[in-house]
Amino acid sequence: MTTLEQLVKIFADTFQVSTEQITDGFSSETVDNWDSVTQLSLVTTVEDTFDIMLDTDDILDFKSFSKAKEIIAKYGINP
Amino acid sequence: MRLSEYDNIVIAGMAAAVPSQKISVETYYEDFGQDTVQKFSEMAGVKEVVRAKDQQTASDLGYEAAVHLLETNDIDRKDIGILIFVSQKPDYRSPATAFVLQKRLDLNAGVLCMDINLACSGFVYGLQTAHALLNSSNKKYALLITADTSNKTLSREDRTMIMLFGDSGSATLLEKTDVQNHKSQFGLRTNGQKFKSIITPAGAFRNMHLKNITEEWSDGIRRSDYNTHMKGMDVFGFSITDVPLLMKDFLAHTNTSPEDYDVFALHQANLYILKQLSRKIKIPIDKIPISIDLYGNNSSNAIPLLLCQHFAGTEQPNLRTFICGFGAGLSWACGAINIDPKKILPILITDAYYQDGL
Repeated sequence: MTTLEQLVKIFADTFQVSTEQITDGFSSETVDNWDSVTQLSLVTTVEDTFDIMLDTDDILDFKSFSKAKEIIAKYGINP
Repeated sequence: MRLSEYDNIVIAGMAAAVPSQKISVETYYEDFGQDTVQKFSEMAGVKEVVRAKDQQTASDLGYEAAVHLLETNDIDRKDIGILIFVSQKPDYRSPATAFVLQKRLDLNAGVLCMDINLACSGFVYGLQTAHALLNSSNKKYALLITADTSNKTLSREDRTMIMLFGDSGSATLLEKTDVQNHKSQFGLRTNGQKFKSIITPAGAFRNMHLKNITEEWSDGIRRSDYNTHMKGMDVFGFSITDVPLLMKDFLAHTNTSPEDYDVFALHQANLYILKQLSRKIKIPIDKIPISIDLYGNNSSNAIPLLLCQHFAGTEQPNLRTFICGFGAGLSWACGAINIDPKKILPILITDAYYQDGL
């Protein structure tokens, strides 16, 4: 599984949607059940999967799929 | 930061009480989905919480903890000069619940009684206030009771809160001593600009006429104005920015480092926040005991509950203990205190409640 596929799967599993729905437009603005529980579950799963620890600003900015790709790239994980 | 320091007051005893009813996170599989609940449990560290019975108020839990404490410590109750009750779930709109507790504990008229309306920072604020009042009085003891039944104002459909919060009470006895080697230090901060971050909008006097109707809010969760609402990510951001900043400032002002403390008794907000604090302050994780797994987030009781769970009955010597609480207000505080494990009682389980006759 590629890094991008892993990231898509994490989003799909967290929000209980199909992988086809995970696009760059998938964000806290467009998803109904995006709240502190889903965002922190998302962040911790990403940290565990890619063995990274996000900085505070990145945890708080982790609010869309496109932003997620940008953030993990800073830690050397290139989707 | 507001700093204060005392050197003649010791923690003479501490007790905590929890209800018998345990609610496992698995209870919510049907409501929120198994995957969501399991991810929440892994992130927040909660496996189950304790929940008060309908008739059981916060003060009932605090009272039982106080009785447990006072019966164990053979002191003359007339020497208690201060009774502080910290809670966001009082018995009545008026009078303050501290008066109910004064009656039930049979304390005499020479006691200063008052409530403090605080949540997760409440133990540290209450402890600081009790130190200040005891220090300036002619009495020997102060009794600090913290208790909350947070669940009573939560929407059963609010997955951000209902799986997280537990109900409990605690009692801490402070004693003034002649020996001036019991240094207690406190550092406090407040940000009222963020008072809406954790709020129960109705039920008091600002929004007296709101109807108790459950409807979907902008976050997609159904609740009423009588339910407590938390802006989860705002509070999380505060918890991993402002709180570690205070902890660092406090360490700098007291010229101490994590190596100088035996224990970091931190508010059990959620496990992920505790890991973030450990990382930011460079605290070895084995110095941060955990109780959120079995009890959840217990508001102002989190710190005494944690200390009772982990240190009651142990033979360890005095523990230099760093305490830190943070939450509604927004309000956050930390302190450095001495804990003698021999003075810490095991957690009491009780469903007792007061039949006031009204």
